[in-house]
Amino acid sequence: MDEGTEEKMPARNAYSLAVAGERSFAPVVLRIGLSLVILWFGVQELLYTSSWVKMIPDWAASLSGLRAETLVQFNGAFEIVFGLCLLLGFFTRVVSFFLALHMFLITFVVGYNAIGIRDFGLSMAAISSFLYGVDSWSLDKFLEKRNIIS
Amino acid sequence: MKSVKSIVTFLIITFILILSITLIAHYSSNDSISSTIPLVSATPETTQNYTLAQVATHKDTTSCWTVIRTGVYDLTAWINQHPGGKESIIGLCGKDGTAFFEAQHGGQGNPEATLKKLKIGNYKVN
Repeated sequence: MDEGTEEKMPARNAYSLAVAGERSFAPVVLRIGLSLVILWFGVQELLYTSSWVKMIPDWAASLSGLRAETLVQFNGAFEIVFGLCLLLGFFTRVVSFFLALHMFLITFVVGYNAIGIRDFGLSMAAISSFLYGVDSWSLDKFLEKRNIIS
Repeated sequence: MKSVKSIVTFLIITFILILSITLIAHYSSNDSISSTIPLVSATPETTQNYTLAQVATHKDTTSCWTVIRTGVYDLTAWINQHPGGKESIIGLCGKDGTAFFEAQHGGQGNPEATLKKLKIGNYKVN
């Protein structure tokens, strides 16, 4: 090993460590980003319910026996509760799983158009969060360390 | 790894929370059934006939009508709700929007269903 190689090795290790450090933030960014998007939709659905009624297909209203407005409000409440849990990283895997199912259902309902494709992307992001599970900045990790919830 | 018991407890609590929020939103909502757009089940009667000249008088955001195929539609309330942006709707006000609609949404179930709810009458050529 010559002098030049010896000098390069520590630099490469430092780079690897830096990359590994950045990588640990990837699931955190994904989780928080996804939760903020879902929270925005949830809040909008509760504040401006009538604007979202058009998104409810006829069959969903007739199948549930509920008014389209109630379905929008239920959907908004679901997104707020699960969005907050995802933001905090509380029951991350469970929450991500249900959000992925929810987004897939919306994708199916909306169909093949720009909104459907966007929601397909969101459901994939939720699946990614589900597959990764608990990250280092989540409440789950904090509680796990203290054996509060098992 | 969380136990099944804690997951079930969590799901029950979140479900109760969701129901509570839904009920609060439902009873405190200012949105009435008579909102700016008719509800799913409130498809209006569409026996009125309109000419293109009549439709052309409703050409801005305060009153936006358009012709699509054989129907006349009031898109005013839909302008701010269109998922694809308001500009594309404003561009149809007072005009025959058939070609534009067909190009953008032809054959798609949801846009067709939405359109059906906004119908105010039939298009009369003369």
